Amino acid sequence: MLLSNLASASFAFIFTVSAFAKTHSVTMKSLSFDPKKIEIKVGDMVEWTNTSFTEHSATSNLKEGEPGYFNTGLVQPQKKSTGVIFSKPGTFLYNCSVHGRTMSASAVVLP
Amino acid sequence: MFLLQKCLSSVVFLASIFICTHSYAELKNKSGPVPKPGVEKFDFDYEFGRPILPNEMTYNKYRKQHMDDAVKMKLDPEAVGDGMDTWHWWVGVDNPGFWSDLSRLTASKHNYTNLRIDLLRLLMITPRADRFKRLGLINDPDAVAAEKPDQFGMNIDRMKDGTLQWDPEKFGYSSGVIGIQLYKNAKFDPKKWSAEAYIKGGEAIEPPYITGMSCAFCHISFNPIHPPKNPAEPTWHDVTSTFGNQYLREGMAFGLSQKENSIVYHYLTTQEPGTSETSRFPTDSINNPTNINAILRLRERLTETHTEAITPAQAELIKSMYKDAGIGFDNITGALGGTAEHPTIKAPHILTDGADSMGVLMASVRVYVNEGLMHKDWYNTWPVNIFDLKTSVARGFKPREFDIINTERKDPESPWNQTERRMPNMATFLMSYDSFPLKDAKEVQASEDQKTLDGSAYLSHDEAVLTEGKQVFADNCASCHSSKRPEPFPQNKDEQKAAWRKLVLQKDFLDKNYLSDDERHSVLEIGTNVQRAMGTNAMAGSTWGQMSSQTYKDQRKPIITVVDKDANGKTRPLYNPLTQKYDVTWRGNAAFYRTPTLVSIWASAPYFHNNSLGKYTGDPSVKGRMDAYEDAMTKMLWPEKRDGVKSIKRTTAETSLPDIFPGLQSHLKGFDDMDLKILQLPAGTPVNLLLGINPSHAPRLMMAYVKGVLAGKPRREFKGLVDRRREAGIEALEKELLKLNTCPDFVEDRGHTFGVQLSESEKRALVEYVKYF
Repeated sequence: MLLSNLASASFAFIFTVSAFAKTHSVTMKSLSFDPKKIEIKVGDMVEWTNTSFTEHSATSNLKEGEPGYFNTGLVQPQKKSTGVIFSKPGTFLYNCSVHGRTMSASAVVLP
Repeated sequence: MFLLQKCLSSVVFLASIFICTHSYAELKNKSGPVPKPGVEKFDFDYEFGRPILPNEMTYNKYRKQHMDDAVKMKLDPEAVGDGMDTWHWWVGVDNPGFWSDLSRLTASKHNYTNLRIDLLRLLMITPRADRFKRLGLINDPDAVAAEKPDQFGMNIDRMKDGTLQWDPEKFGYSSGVIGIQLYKNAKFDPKKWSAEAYIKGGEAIEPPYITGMSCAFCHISFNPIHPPKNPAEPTWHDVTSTFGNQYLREGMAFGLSQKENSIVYHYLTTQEPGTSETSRFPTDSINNPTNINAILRLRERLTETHTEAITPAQAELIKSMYKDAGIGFDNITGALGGTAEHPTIKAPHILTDGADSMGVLMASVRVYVNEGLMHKDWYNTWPVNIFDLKTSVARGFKPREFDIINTERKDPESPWNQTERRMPNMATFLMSYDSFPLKDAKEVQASEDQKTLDGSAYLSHDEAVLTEGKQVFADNCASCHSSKRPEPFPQNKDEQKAAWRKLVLQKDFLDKNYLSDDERHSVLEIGTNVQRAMGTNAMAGSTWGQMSSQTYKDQRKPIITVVDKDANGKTRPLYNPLTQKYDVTWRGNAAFYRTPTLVSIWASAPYFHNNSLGKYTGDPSVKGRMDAYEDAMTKMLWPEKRDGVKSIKRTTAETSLPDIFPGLQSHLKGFDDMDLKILQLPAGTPVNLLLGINPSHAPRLMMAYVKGVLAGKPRREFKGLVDRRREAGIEALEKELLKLNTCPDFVEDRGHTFGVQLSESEKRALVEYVKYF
């Protein structure tokens, strides 16, 4: 199941991670992301860890195919998503594809 | 609570000073709800209950299991799953607004109804452990009782953590009762909130959650072949989605806080368990709740469709709906035909009186209107619009059509349109239920030492008895209660009898048999209480006027004299509760009942369209169902054992006129000197004597009372006479109530005496055979 989720995940910005890039962690809770707003720098990577009892995704609010779109696919309880690297500055809104806008958050990517 | 909220702003200020040492979560636990920083509209986190346990059955698993079973029935599992979600959780987009409107109106001081209709309040004051026992509500196995009040001081159930597997903005949060969903209320203001004040009423307070209603509220029930060990805490194994909740006390759910001296109290408490009063809001001034019937063998039922004439405008409407929903014009659930000038639709008869005659799609969306879809427009169709009584008075309490053709579907994203697009999958889901054979019923065992009988123990295996039962069924019941017919059908009566017997005796007669012809039969033929069939909401110009066929309307046009029948089948006038004689001669429009299915009827007693035949056990165990079955079948076949005139619904205390009358007083010219509170009718008055009244008759009723008091004396002497002559006034009033009654048929369990002429042996054989259905 995890493999299929990984396979379905698509990443907007995948390129060589610089020596200064960091990996950030966001927790998927029962019906929220923690932190709800994360500030990172261009080139940083975010991983989502599902600590809840049901599956979640982190899915970009952009349309599939648009620059900046990302989707972790469904992350099973007690599992971690594949990392998503953010290559451009901006504010990127996302939500869980199962639970909709109620479970939403943002990644603010600084230059 | 109020003080706490008053202190909130200072608490937030203090918290900001000590932000490093006090987390938001800690603050929330200590001080109640607090707006989140940076969020303009007040938002809050839903509080889940305990996590789901490993291997615990959940809705998601129940859904998956049902989808797998549907594959065996050659149904699209994805459609079944989607339809199941709609059935359980879809609230027609905007029906929470309807329930909110009712909540606000009935909590306010200017409440014409004297009712308190509020589903959230209902949940707050009825603990999970009591809901089934008191109200017949089916608790959601995916929820648990609150261990402590939530952040708003409410003791409402919580969803088990891990069970929410959908978007709560679309399908809501479970309220703990299947069919009532919670949505966050955008109008909620924590500063004005008090749980205590909300329960008390007297002013409209916006609560944290608003409630919506889905189909499952009425239709989910306990699984007849897998009853719950504890009805208050069922598992998903113990429930089934379409059997119909024969335990639901719908009236009680709306009338929890009524006083016994209100007619509304008696209206609601005398409503039979397992019935729904679908003309409660768009009232036709007939108190006629109808049973929530089982939806089984829909696929077989669709072989019993009937060609109905519809108008060209209705045909265009149906075509537009089919295009939007993605189904063909020749769809089995309602195939269009005829010509442009004289179009037809081939459809099953759906409502008890066969009024839903425009195909499954139309019939299904109509139900959502009755749950509050597009309610603002719906209110204007009600003869008595409790949100705008003045306008109702101005139009003489005349109904209006809910205008789908010209108004409700103009916006392609209207709640109507969104709902109609969900209906094809829901229909597929409804096709996935066949039957619940008694032989498969496994009795619940409350304790290890308890001796129980499984369903098979109630079945006779005596071939002679069963053969006799089959023959009796063939001779007396099958012509209406079978979707299989002898082919070819003989012309000669004796040959017909032989052909029916041959068919019924075949081993596979019961397989895939809908056990109904789905025809409308005249109330004069059936003989049961006519109030439901006399409903007028599907007539032209009424609320559902655009949703019923021309054939239905034409069939209703003739005027008939409604009669009762004595034990020998001889006709007589209707029973008069004032004289205690059968002397009411009453004429009304022709009316019908469609034949109900008998599939799994062992599990659905009491019987008749009003659930009035047989005792109500309130016990979902196999034994409880069989007790109810025996009693109802006995009363069916031995009419002398029925309650008869004792089945008349009567008040149990001195009671006022319908509570809406005081609200009308300002419109009743010439009655300013009357105190309507004095119009108290004695305990034992038939409930429907009071309820079968169109409010437009209020002046005539007042006049009858005044004349009774005056006994020929001048009007100016009324005030001086009223105390001494009160009883004479009431007597005159009662006579006028009977005279003006919209449907003076008071005996609830009469009629359907087919088989009364059978021998004792034949009747018992039939009772044994029907258990196999």
